[in-house]
Amino acid sequence: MNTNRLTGVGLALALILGAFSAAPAAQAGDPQNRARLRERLSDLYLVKMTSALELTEDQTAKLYPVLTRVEKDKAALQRDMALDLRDLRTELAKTPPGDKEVLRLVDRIRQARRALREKDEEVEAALDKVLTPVQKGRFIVFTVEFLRNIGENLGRPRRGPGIY
Amino acid sequence: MDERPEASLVEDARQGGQEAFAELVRRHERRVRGIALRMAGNAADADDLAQEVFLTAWKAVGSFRSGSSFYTWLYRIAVNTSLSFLKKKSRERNRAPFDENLSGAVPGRAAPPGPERRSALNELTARIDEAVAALPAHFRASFALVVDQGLSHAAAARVLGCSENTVSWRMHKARKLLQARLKPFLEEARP
Amino acid sequence: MRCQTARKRISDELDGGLPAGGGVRLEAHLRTCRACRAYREDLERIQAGTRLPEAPAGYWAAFERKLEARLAAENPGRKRVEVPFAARRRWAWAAAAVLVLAGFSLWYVLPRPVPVMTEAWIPYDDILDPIVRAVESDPELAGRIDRELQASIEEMSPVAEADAAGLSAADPFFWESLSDDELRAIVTALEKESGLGGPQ
Repeated sequence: MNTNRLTGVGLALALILGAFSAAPAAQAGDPQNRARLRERLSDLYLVKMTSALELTEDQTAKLYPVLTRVEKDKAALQRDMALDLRDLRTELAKTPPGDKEVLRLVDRIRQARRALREKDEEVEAALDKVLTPVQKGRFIVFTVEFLRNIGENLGRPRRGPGIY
Repeated sequence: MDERPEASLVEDARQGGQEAFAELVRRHERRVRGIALRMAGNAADADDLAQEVFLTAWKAVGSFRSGSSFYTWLYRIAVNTSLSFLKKKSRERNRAPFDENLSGAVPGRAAPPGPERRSALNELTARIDEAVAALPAHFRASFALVVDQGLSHAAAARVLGCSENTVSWRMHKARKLLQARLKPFLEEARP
Repeated sequence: MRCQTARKRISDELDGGLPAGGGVRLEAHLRTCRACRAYREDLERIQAGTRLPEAPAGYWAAFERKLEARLAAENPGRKRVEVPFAARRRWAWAAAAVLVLAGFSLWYVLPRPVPVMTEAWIPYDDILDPIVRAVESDPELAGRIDRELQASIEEMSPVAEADAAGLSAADPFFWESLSDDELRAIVTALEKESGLGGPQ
């Protein structure tokens, strides 16, 4: 076997693979732009949900104000969480990282995550008051399909924790 | 100024017609902001709420069925947007509920000095606004629709999604609370 | 008529909602009850003093302009949006390119006997074995190919597994992990599906 030629093949392969590098790390980018994207996503979610559940005008008049309000609250929480995450990365990069500061940020991030989940529960409570039994069932299916659709559109490998 | 019938504007807006929706805004903006102002109790919040009501209506107009009353639907969005806003504010500030046993002077405020009749009337108007702003949210919503917007109990009930009897009782209860709270100022302004 | 009932009727009367015949009975009660007469006067004065302030000059034009700008932002101009090349597809193409290039390269670099045309196709095993050895000698390449194979297996997974994996998107941390480009790609895809955006 020609070792030099194999090395050449390996280098060629590495070059090709380099052109298709791994998915970029999450970038903060422009916060206002990101907030606008999240808002647009929320609007699209509402449109699709309205259609999937066949909401009546009475139901939209009741639900849209609540859902819009909750989404604003979530956006604020997500923004704060993003800032804390950035600070946490900075702290962890120090030599050595400050334990107190790390724990403070970890606590804040966990709280934000809990608060965001509570907002989702608030949405479900609002929906519970307004939706018919069939619509409640459709909502579950719609939510799962919507989230799966997001995963597909990303094109990431669908994995649980440890997603990169 | 677009003088088309409302049903035509609404149908156009449902299809994405922004100009038609802009005309609907022009026709209803004063009433929507009026509801928001009465519910929020201050102009700054009312302005934001009114904007939010129309943005919500724009997003949701696709679900609106022609043949229904557009203004009833729009008022409903206005009330629900305001109630959602007040709920959030209440959670944030942990506000004490309206004390229906309260009578006499507004807590924390000094009694007004002996005034001329004109000042007493102005004072009464200001106190009425404060007292209405302190009503429980659902009473305030009924008050805003019936007194400010001139809706009948039946029309207000359609907006609020409750019975006409419920609106009637809320108005009665709201007035009882207001009368109790405003008694000193009503005495002051008596001719 | 009791005072409690009379006061309720006074409230209904102010709103034009008194039932037929109720006015007569109310007036009869008020003729004899000073307290209820005073109560009605108080309510009438509260009603008269209740008015919303007028908006200042120029307010509505500014209100409409602000709303128009926000509505325009809700319906962004239809522009062509580049959908980022999906990571998984990238890896699939990368793996395919690896195999094809490796195949050709090896065909040319490996010594081979004088061809006797006994078969129309290059035997698959002859190609694969040297590739496997080349990959095994490069841990990073091996890891990347492993992950791509895993992704391909998952793509064939039953729906339930996909649902469960998709639910990770319900975790708030998931959204933090997305780049702006990825978020934009999701929005664009949803706009296309909903017919609310997309390329002109």
